[in-house]
Amino acid sequence: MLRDRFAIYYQSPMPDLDMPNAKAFAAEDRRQRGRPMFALVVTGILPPRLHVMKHLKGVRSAGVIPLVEWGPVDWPPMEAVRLALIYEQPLGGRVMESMTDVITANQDHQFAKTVLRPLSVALGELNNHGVNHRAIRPTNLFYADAAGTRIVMGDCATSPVGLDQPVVCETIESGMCQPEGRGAGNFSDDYYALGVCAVMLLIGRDPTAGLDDAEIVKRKLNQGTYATLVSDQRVPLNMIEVLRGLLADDTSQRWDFEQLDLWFNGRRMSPVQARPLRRAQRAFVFMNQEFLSTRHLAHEMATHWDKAAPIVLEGKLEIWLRRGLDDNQLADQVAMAIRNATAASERSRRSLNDLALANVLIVMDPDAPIRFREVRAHMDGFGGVLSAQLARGQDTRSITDVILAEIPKMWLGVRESFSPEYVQLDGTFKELREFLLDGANKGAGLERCLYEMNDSQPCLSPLFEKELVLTIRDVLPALDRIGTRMDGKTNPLDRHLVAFVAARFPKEIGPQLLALNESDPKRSTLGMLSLLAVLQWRLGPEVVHGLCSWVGGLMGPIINSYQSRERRRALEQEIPRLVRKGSLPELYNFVDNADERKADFDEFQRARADWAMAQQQIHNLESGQVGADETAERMGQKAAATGAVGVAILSVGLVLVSYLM
Amino acid sequence: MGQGMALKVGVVLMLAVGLFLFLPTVLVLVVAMLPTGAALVVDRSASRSGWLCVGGLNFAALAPSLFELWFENNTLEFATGIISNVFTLMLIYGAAAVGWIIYMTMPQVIASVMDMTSSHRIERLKAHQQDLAEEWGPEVAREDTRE
Repeated sequence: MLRDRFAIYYQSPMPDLDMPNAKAFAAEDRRQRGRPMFALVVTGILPPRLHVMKHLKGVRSAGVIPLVEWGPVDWPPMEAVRLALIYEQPLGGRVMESMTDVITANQDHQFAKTVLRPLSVALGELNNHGVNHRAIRPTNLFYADAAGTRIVMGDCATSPVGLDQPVVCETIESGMCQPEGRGAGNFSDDYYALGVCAVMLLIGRDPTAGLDDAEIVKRKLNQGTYATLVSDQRVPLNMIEVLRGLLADDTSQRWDFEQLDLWFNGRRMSPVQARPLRRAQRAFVFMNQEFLSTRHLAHEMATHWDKAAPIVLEGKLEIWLRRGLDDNQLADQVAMAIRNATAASERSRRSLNDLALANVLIVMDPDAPIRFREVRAHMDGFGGVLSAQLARGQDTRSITDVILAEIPKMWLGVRESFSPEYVQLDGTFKELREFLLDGANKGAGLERCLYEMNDSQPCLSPLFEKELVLTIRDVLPALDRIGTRMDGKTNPLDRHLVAFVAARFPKEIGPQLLALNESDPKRSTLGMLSLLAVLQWRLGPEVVHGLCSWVGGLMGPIINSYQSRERRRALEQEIPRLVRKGSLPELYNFVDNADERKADFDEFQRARADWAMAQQQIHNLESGQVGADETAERMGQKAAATGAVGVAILSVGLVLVSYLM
Repeated sequence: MGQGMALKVGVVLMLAVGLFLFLPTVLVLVVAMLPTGAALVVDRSASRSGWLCVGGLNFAALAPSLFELWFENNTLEFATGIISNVFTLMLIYGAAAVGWIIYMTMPQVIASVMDMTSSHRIERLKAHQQDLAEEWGPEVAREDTRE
């Protein structure tokens, strides 16, 4: 049950409406029975788009499937808490079940009005809410009505942004990325995808079906998207202009809501012409192919990474840029990129090659994603790549290498115009690098990078395997729930949890993190308690009995940090009472009371002084026994002599008296 | 000539004069006080006070006979009688022997008393340390304990 209103029937799956990262189930609104709805329950391992859900809930538009409600629910099939989204059910099913499907071509003269316009309006509405859909593909379009007259866009919140998009629906730059590294993109990416969908609806199939992703990107690079998708197809003449506008590869030329609206209202504009790439007079041969433009060459080099590095470092590329392409400025940039990479002499040869090639590819095609060995991601897509790699248990070395080698700095360095966003990105990646360099500490490392780069990333702590911790406010309630069944040895703050809190908590928690990472168990336990206490103090809830009971069992090092055994006994007796109150700040204040600590310290110092003094006295007495014989002899002899002399005097006195009387 | 030599010469002259003026007394003293002289010679203790102990009792036992000589019959015969009386000599030498015994045993007696006193004090101090260790743990005994 979601928010005590929407019942989700896990016994009634609806596989036709499944999403790649979520399963669909029948759902019912208890207050409005009969309203057809279904629930998408995020059962996959990848993070959903939380901020999109927040905005989508308020969007009412004919072209998008309405999100009625969303939130965490207890999910019996997994015995866990999972995120559920309640949507109004599209009654006509998917437009295309798969990208290889062939459907009836939409030959309706009113296509623009009945299909394109509602979708465009929906995108405009989403844009007004600051949301880009990034999941517009024929397999995510639905017929809202049973008659199949109204098409709506499906869910875009259950998967990471752009992850499930087929390459054909993505722009050239985005298509070059690995799916996880496409990043948030921008609104114009949605209009591009809308254009691709329009083509497929008009011709009834995917014109690139059967081609692999690399081939699609290559064709788009060589011919342009419009030519790749439309040139051999029969599309209505009245649609050519709008398709050219939507499928423009140049972002600045691509149509957006405003231009579409003008077009819908009858204004005809000059057709968009692709801006030609600068071409060389003579070709550069790589992998037995001839290349005339840097963009194509860069793409091919990124595809054949190991073969490209030596060629770049030998200087052949630079020569071609100067003589073949006659672009000395670019050649200088390439030379500088190589010099920058090879300046760090402590790197291995392979690392130098990789770094040099990554830098050179950025210079040759600044709009393309950052490419480094097998990583291909936009600046805002690194978070997605890292998130997916961690969720799948894959090696994350290449991402950390990119950040540590400061490749993003190179990317920012070749931007032609200034943007405040670039300054922010520069700062972010500097911070991420510091976190990686400080990797041994909790609250830093790869985990911190993960949460810093992914706002929607739920906490991946193993403790929360059955829980769903999406925001900082979910942390303590989740810990409280699992607290009752935890043993007295498990630390509630593992690396993921600390990194999550450090990334999401808006207040300064540096001192707590510092204490938490101390090697001294007392200090680290105090740091742990202090951090949890601050969370409860700032964010609530009022009482956390389960967590208090759990943490109360871990107070051993703190109790033992008091020297006085009597104080320890008093603490041990008092802690259960505080645990029952469920207040971590009170528990913290009690176990780390400054006055008590000072008294304990002072009294301990006095006890030590007492002990040392007693020890000294014992030592003196014991070492005195060694010379006791001499002393006793001396004293005995003196006493004997004195006594004898006294007896003599007494005797003389008595005799003398007897004679005198 | 050193001061010591003058002292020795002075003593010898006094003895020579005394020998002529107080012959009976000197005779009794020389014979009766032999244990004291022996004690003075054989005592190797640090305090060198054995002769005082022996001499004190030796002289106390001699005193009645010596006063009898001085006040009743200060003649050479009476003096010879005293030193030839076995019982008197036994009394005088016995007293000297007691003095020597006292001199020998008194250090042990004193040592035993001292030992009894310090053991008791050490026990009390150790018990106090035990109490401190129970209240403050073994760290109380460590010099390098932090905090």
